[in-house]
Parts: sequence; C-alpha cells; structure tokens
Amino acid sequence: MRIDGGLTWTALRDLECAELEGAADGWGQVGNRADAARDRVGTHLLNGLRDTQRSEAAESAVARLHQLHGNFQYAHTECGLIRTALNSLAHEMKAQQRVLADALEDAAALTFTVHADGSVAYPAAGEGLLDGRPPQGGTAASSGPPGLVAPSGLIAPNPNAARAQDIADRVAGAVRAAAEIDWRYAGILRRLKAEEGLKVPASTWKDAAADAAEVRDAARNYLRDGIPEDATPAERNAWWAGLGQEQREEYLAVYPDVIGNLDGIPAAVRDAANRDNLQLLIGKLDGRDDSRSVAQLEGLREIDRQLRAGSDPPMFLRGISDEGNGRAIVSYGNPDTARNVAAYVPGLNTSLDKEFAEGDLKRARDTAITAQRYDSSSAAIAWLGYDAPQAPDWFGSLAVMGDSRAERGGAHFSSFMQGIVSTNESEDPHLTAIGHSYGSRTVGAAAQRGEGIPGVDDIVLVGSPGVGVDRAEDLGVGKEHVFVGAAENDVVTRLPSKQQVVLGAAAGPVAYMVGSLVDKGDGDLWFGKDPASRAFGAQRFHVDEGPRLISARGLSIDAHSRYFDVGPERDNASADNIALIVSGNAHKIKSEEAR
Amino acid sequence: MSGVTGVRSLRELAGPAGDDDRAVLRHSDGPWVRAADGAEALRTHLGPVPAELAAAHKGLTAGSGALSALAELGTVRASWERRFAAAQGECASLTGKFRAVARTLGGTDETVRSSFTSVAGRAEAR
Repeated sequence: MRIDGGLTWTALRDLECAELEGAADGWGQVGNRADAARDRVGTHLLNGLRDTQRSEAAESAVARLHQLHGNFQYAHTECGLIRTALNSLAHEMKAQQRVLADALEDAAALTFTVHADGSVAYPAAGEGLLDGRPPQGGTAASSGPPGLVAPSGLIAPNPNAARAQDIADRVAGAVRAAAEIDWRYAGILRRLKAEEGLKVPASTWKDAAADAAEVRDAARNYLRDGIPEDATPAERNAWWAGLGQEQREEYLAVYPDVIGNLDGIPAAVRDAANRDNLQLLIGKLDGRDDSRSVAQLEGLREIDRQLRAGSDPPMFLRGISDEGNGRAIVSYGNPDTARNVAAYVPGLNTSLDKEFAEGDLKRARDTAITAQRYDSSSAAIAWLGYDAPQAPDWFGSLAVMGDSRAERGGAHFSSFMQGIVSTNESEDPHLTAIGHSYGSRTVGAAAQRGEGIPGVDDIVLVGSPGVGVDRAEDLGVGKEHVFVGAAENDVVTRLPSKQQVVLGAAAGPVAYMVGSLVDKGDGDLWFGKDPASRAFGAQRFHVDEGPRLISARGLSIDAHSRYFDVGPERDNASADNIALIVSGNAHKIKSEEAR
Repeated sequence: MSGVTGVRSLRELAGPAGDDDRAVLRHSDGPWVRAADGAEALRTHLGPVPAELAAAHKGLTAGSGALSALAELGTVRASWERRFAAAQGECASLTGKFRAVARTLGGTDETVRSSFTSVAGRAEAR
C-alpha cells in the first residue's frame, strides 16, 4: 500500500486547514439549505395538495413531491457528513502540522537545515576522539517508521547527529501520518458522492447508513467532546443547550441514532434525527429475509407512511431503533410544549411491527385527541422503549420470564420520563403514566425505583395482571392518583397468582384461559394484588365489561384490548375516563366499585 | 404563504395576457396555484447552492495538488451540484405542471394525471 502519495513536509506545513474548515462550513450551509427545502416541500407543498385535493392529479403530484422530499432529506444527511469529514480531516491534519512545526522549531534553534526531502543537515560539534577537533557535520535522513531499523551500535561522536536524526524522524513521521490521513479521507469522501438523479431508493439509505458509520469512526477524535450518554437526562439537556448551532448540526449528522434516542434532548431535535434514522433503518433492513427484520421493516414503513400522510395532532418521533424487538416512541402533540403529557406503555407480545404501528400508535393518538377536547394543551405518547415479553401462549410462558423485562423496561421508562421533565417547557407539567397489560407491570417497576417515576402525577393501569406492589400507595404518587380500569370480562385482570398456578399444576395456561383457574377470589393476581381490588386501594374507573371470554362465537379475549377504543364505532367509557385523567380532569371520571 | 403573495407572484408570472390572465386569477387562491408558487420559490431557494459551494472552496483549489482527498472533494462537489441542479429542474417542471392543472381544472383529471406520469417516467430514465 502506497500512502505517501508524494506529500512533502513543505506541502504539509503550507496546508491551510482553515480553508478546509471553510469548505466544511459551505457544506453545512448547503446541507441546511437542503433541510429547509425538505421542510418547504413537506409543509407548503405536500400539505397543501394532500389536504385539499382528492384526485388522481393530486396523487401524481404528491408522488413526485415525495420523491423531492426524500431527495432533500438524503442531500441534507450526506452534506452534513461531508461537512464533518472535512472538519475532521482538518482536525487530524492540524495535529500533524503541530508535530512538524515542533520539529522545525527544534531544527531552527539548533541551526540545522531541513532539506526538501526531509533530511536534516547539522554542523560540526563535540570533541574529537583523536585530535580534539570537533567531528564534522553531516546529514541525517529518516530511518523509516520507528522500530524498522535496529540500532547499529555505532554511535556517531558528533552529538548533533542524534539530534538531527530525531528531527528527521519526526518530520518524516508527521508526513507519513498526514499521507495516511489524506488517503483515508479520500476514501471516505469518494463514497459521499451524490448518486445521479433524484430518487432515493432504500439501497441509497443503506449506503448512507454506512457513510454515517464511517464518518463517525473517522471523526471520533474530532468530535471528542463525546455525547454524555452516561449522564442524567437533565445533564444531557444542559450539554445540548451549551452546544453551538454548528456543533449541534454535526452531532445530528454523525450520530442521528444516538441523539434521536437520547432522553433529555428536546422533542423537535429528536424528531428531526429520528426521521433520518427511520430512513436509514428502512435502508438497513430492506432485503433481509429473517422474520424479525421483515416484521420490523413493516412496522417502520407503516410509521413512515403515517409521517408522510401527516397527522393532527402532529406526530413527533421520539425514538426509533432496531435494537432487540425494536423500539418506537411516538408522540401525538409536542411533549415539550404540552402542559399534559401522557406516556402509554404497551404490554405482552408488543414489538416493533405493523400491528404496533397501527394499533398501539392509534391508542396514543386517540388518547391525545380525546384529552385535547378537555384541555387542548395535551400530548400522548406510545412508548415502546423496552423489550416486552414475547409469549405466543400469552401468560402461559410468563412463569419462566418473570419480572426481568418489566424491571429493565421500568428503568428505561424512568429515564424517558426524566427526559420529559427536563425538556418540557411548562412550569408545572402534568404527567401521566399509562400501563396496559404487562405494560402496567413495567410502569409498576418504574414506580418502585428511587422516588417513583420522575415527574409523574397520575398513574393509569388498564388490563393489569398486577403491578408488582400490593398497595396503590406504594406507586409513589399517592393512592388517590392511581387509577385502574379492569373490564369484568378481561381475563388478564383475573389471572390467578403464581401460587395458584403451581397448585393447579399441570392444568397449564389453556386451563386458566378458559376459566378453570381464574382467580380464586382472594385478589392475588399474577404480579401481586389485583389493582382493581378494594385491598389495593386505587381509584377504579368505569369500563365497559367487554365481550365474554366464552360465547356462542367461541373464545374471545377482546375485553382485554378495548380500553382505548373510541368512536365512531363505540362510545367508550374507558377511553373517555383515561382522557379525563390525562388532561388533568380526574375529578370528573366515572367511578366503579372496587372488586 | 399568504393568498396575497400568491396573487402577486402569479400576476408577475402570468404576464399581461388579457383573458388568460383573468382565467388564471380566478383560481389564484387555490391549492394548485399555491403549489406552483411554492415550487417556483423552492427553485429560487436552491439557486445559490453552486455559488455557495464555489465560495466555500475558493482557497482550496489553489493547493489541491497536495492532497488526494481534495481531488476527491472536487468530484464530490460536482456530483452534488448536478443533484441540486436536477432538483431545480424538477421544481421548474412541477411549477409548469401545477400551473397547467390550475388552468385546466375544468378539464378531465385523467389528462392531468397522464401528464404527470410521463414526466415522472422521463425523470426516471435520466
């Protein structure tokens, strides 16, 4: 591998790194222009035609505008990477210029001459061994990379020779390192060329993901004020606030996946990063044929479709990733500006797939819409920020899974809510944690950490198999702020305790699903006391009883999944009660007797 | 974009062509005219890109022989200038199409759709 490329020490010395940085600024400027163009296409053009025109002409126009939108998003991403690559190149070159400058200064101080080829001439000095006359001067040339040439054992009597050798080696070392840097960045830049045309197929996003990884790898030293991933959300928020606009843009360009999923970063910033992440992830998963990738890709595409279609309340993508079973955190309404913010934690068998992207997002969206009827300053979030247990036979497999997913998920959920507290602009935001099914156990786990879930005023538990504590007052918000919805026919809210299952021995999950093992009436459920029981002490709100488990139409567990359903098909007391709590109107809920 | 701006820029673009001018103005607050104005404004918005890149790289071109990364940067820049130019071309094309739709709102939808599709096909072939 030839890496010196003919670079000389004079060329390295004369390299104007400030000009490289100036070029980087230009790419930043153009990238921002592309970003503004993307925004214009989305806000001014697409919205105008999509919302008002329902015709084939509009559809064709919208398709072309989408292509243009994708083009600008791609341009914004890549220009940002070129900018950081150039800044990082300048940063690394400056380090080698400093090594060179030090060597040249030493040479000048000793009145040595550094020749164009890097050899160093030195004058006579020292004391002769025979006649007392100083040994003659000479020229030292670099002996190549350190360690390649073994010391000869013959020591020149002129003390200048060793000094000159050292200087020659340092000069050559700086030039060699600079040539390697040049070679490396030439490769990176080559891959940042624009593809021809306007289209941005998934394969292009896949390349863009690789580009980002490569620039990130190269720029590690340059962006050395690393992202404080181990800090608290409040500290991260302060870190972000302290960055200059250009630094923020560079972090967004190089680390969209980290910034997009970092609690403590403002919602609008995370949303911008995650819209890029979404495309990068779609590019990454496109073409894979394993079932997990296929399912996640379907989920990501559905989220992308909804983002393109636009939403009221507006969508904010607060988290997206292919980690584990997939992560997706979507807010309806801006969680930084809304006074009331609710986060809904889904439960068993939830993962990033089409079903989540359709069903669980709709739950959050419906909750936001209904809550806004009571207080327009309300937002609701679907939070899939953990690996919910995947149990094909539902609670039958939970015996071996235990609480670990809930405990880990609870830690993430706490961090997330702390992030909301640090970015929400209201003086005293009203935060609600909603847990459904196993998600209520996760909320319960979060509530038992430290001083409870950060910032959360109210907790809503629906379809809960128990939350890990036996009394509402142990959830950290006061029992009058714990609200429980349990449909009479929701079998999950009547799961027997583990002890009872053990007693029931080989009867297995099917047996209790059809009722033979349903809670014996002592109020002890799978994960502790039934939250709807009098002993638990929470506020039970009215929920329609839902379809029976066994009817003429066969086996149905639909009663477990209707807590968020809204009109027009159904006038649902449950969804309305949840919205009242979320909007800070809990005193208006319709109550129900505890079990 | 306000309706007022839409009307003013439309007048400028449509020119003084008597009857035709009035026909277009009848739809001046419609979404197609606003879209046309938006696409036109977007084309203008992208106009400074080559000059901005040229200014940013001004000092670099002189010493570009020293680093191979800078030679690559030259081709990178050219590729993005082409891509931005293509986007500008698309804006111009869309502007024309949107104005055509605005004018022929009374015509059949199918005609308009096929006119978009043919342009999209050409853009793909590029």
